[in-house]
Amino acid sequence: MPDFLLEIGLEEIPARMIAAAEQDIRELVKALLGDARLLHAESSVTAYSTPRRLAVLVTGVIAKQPDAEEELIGPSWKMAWQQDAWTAAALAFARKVGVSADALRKVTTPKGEYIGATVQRKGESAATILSARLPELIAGLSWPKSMYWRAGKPERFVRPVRWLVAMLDAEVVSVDFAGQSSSSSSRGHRILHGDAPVVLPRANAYAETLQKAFVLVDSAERRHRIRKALDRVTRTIPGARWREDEELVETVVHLTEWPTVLLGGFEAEYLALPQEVLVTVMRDHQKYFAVESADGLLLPHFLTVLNTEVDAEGEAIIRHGNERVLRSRFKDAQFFWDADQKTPLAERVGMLRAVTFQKDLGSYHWKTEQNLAIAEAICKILAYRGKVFDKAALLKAVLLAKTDLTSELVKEFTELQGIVGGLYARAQGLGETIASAIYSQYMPASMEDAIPSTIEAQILGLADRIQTISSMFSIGNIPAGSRDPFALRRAGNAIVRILAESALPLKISELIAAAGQAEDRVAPFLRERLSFYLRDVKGYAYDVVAAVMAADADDVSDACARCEALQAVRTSTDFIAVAAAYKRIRNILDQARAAGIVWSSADETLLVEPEERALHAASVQLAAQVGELRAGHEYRRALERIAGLAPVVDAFFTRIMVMAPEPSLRSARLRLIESLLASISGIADFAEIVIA
Amino acid sequence: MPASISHSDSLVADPADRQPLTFQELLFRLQTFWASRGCVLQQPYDVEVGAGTMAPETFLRVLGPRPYRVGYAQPSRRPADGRYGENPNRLFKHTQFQLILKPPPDNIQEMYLQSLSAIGIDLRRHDLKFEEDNWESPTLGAWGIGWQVMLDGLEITQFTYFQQCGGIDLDPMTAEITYGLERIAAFLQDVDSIYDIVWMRDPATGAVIRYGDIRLEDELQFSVYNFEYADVGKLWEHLRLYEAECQSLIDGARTLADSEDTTQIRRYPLLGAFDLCLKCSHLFNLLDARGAISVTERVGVIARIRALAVGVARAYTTQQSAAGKE
Repeated sequence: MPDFLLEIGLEEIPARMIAAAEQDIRELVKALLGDARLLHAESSVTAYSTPRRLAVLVTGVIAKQPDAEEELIGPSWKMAWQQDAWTAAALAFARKVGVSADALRKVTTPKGEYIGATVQRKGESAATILSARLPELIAGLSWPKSMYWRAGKPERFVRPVRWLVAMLDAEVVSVDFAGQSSSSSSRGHRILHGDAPVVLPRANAYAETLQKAFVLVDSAERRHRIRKALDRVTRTIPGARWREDEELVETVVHLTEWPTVLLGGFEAEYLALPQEVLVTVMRDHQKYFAVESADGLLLPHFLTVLNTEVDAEGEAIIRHGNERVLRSRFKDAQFFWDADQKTPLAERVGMLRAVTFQKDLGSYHWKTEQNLAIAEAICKILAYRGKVFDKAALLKAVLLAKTDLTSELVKEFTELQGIVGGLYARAQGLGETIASAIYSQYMPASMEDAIPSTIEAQILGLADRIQTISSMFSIGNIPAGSRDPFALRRAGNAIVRILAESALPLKISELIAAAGQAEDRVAPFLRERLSFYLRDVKGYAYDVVAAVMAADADDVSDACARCEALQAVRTSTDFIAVAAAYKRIRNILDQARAAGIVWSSADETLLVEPEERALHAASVQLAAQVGELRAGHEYRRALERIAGLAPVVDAFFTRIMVMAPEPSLRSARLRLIESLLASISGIADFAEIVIA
Repeated sequence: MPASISHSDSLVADPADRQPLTFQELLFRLQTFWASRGCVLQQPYDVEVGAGTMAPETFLRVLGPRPYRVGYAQPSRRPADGRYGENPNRLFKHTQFQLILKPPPDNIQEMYLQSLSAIGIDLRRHDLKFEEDNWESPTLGAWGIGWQVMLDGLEITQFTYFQQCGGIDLDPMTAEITYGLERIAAFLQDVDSIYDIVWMRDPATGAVIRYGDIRLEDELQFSVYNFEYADVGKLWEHLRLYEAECQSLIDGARTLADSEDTTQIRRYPLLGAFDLCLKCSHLFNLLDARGAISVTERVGVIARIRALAVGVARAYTTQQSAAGKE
């Protein structure tokens, strides 16, 4: 069985897109071969990629589909056979499937009688199928951003396609896409190999042949090499290690075809700059790895991953070049830092009038005023609830939080906003509370990131984000589908995480009210973020989250606690029984209401059967116990108590008919189950629980 | 166009002469290289622009179907970037060598790499990467897809496949290659300050004239003007006047387009209208550097200039197709 290779040769693909594309093309090729019955059970499908190519190698492809008979069904017998002859519809069907009228016959299916025909399908060769279907497959690869390059704009792709390789063993499979026709000719490393074609002798010699042309097509192998080389090179500095950075490793894996690692250095005097600035310059701007000592202090070195291999003279040239760039960037940063100190943060508040927050809303000065009002309102609630914090420092931090947007350093390194403000506040002697609140205002930046550690920073983070969300909503900038240009979902996620993990006594509705916001879509939006947090971050089951949120979705940390409790008890037999009874009660009450029955004036003394008396007693006791446990947030124990009700409930429903013919008794029973429902509903809506 | 010169080999510096290229030699080499690849060599456009892209040789030539290849060194003025000549890496006015290839040849990247050899960069001893960097100019209604070309960690070139210009979808596409001449010269000469770049070396005496000798005064005085002296009221007034004139030309073109009088259409001064649009763009940059544009105004002014650029681009496209029919 032959092996199949497809390689799409491109101008450099953006590094951030390659991993997904590699997976994409692997799945698509696999699905194509699978659908076409060309994939053997033992076939392996491997994807390769470099910045200049995307490839798939499939071992053990079935060379030709087996011939097959296919039963085809045509029009109904009634339509096909009239007056002892085939009708025009029958003959048209015969023509369409390529059989003579003699071959038509009656077939009986569960849906009725039809005409049918047995058609011989000749198996097609893998080469034929691949030729026909690969162009569409390649065109179907999805890219976050693509382009036109040919006249007439016949196709869009991530970058111009410059060559195609498609082979079954040593044979070229003819594929045409984007003006390129497939061959067995690939290309090597731009510089180390040059422009000469790299001819592949057969499909499965792909990786080894390209390796001779200085291209490692296996991204995993490049990753391994890069990590090894980073380790090896760092060992030349005693006691040093490179700062682990998985994201950066991924980036350089996808920026190189033939990676090597080079160590460079910078003047120790630059270590006086904050390490946040140094690392941002190295990492984000230059894609260098930082080097640190065993105790995590930055050392005046960096590591850069090259897309080439050079002799000693070349190394010296490249090192010198990179050091030169880094030095000038550090010099710039130093210059900006010094220049910025001439205007302290406090004097920059007015300058925020010239920095747009959103064109239809106002400037960052406007936003700061809004943030201040919200922070004040939050302070009032928290102080009332006995939270202790430094209100004056908090309000000062809110006032100064955005002023670093006017600094030269943030204009240069936008990703350092907040951090720079915090560093300046510290350098300008504003005190640690203010400095750290400003510094960590954008935390958590992602779901992995921690929340700010001080209460002042948490309040600042909440006020800033609810202001952003509610003002954006007020002008119709509401996230929809994949469109969320102002990253409001991320802001919402951060609010939920801060509320969940800080345990600040603040409800979502209170936060929204603090923002003075009447926009009624903000609350559902934040509830959706809470649901996302509980499901996707905390990992609670979908129905547990739905049940908890149906009971109450306003108090975030409380919702977390209830999810945890519910998740723990939900599989116990007793709990399942109570949940089932809960649904049953709900249904009975709904039906009774629908039938116009009123039971508000029920008389409980009419309850005389032992099972209903037992349930009444248990229900009254439970209501008190659960109320007490809920007040103490002991949800697990409360739910266990509720589950303990199972035998009594079970006995009740086995023996007692709620909808008794006698109206006053029926009312008393309805009242009984309604009060039971009320006493167990506060923690979660058990009707949402899916019982397997 | 100059007769074809045999490729890069003849352009590599004489090995005996290990002096790196002077600033002006760098420009000669790039011009010679691209002229030998069929490019028209143009002189810089003589109206203030913020980037080579804004010169009509790019902005207008990329519109419509006609193939074109051109290269020119464009002084690019960005008033807000001025640093009074005190920052070694930043200039109010820097020089872009701008190259337009319409449509882009299939081997455009290889040609570009050869151009680096032509200016004395031995790629076997350097690290070269094409890193994603898409370009967008809201004021021009233009955007493209491309890379920044990194050489030993230094961005030396911006490489863009234009997709849209003046709000008009392009077909055929154009590749734009923009070399940052000061950066490349500082890299080749290994100097830490732009002002230390050797601009020219007297062949007779070996005496050098440096970038600072020629441009420092320029940087200082224009920083002072742009940040301190430019009269905000007059700048607004100029902006208003240029805008009004540009807009009335655009309106006139629209009226004329309905007349189907191809002779009149062909002689209509849209190139003049575009100059007025460039004036507006530069005035906006000056006002911005002066800190004279408030939040609410800023977006509005950008939209006004964009409307001019888009208006000229549309009218120019119509004019070109009318002229084509003649």
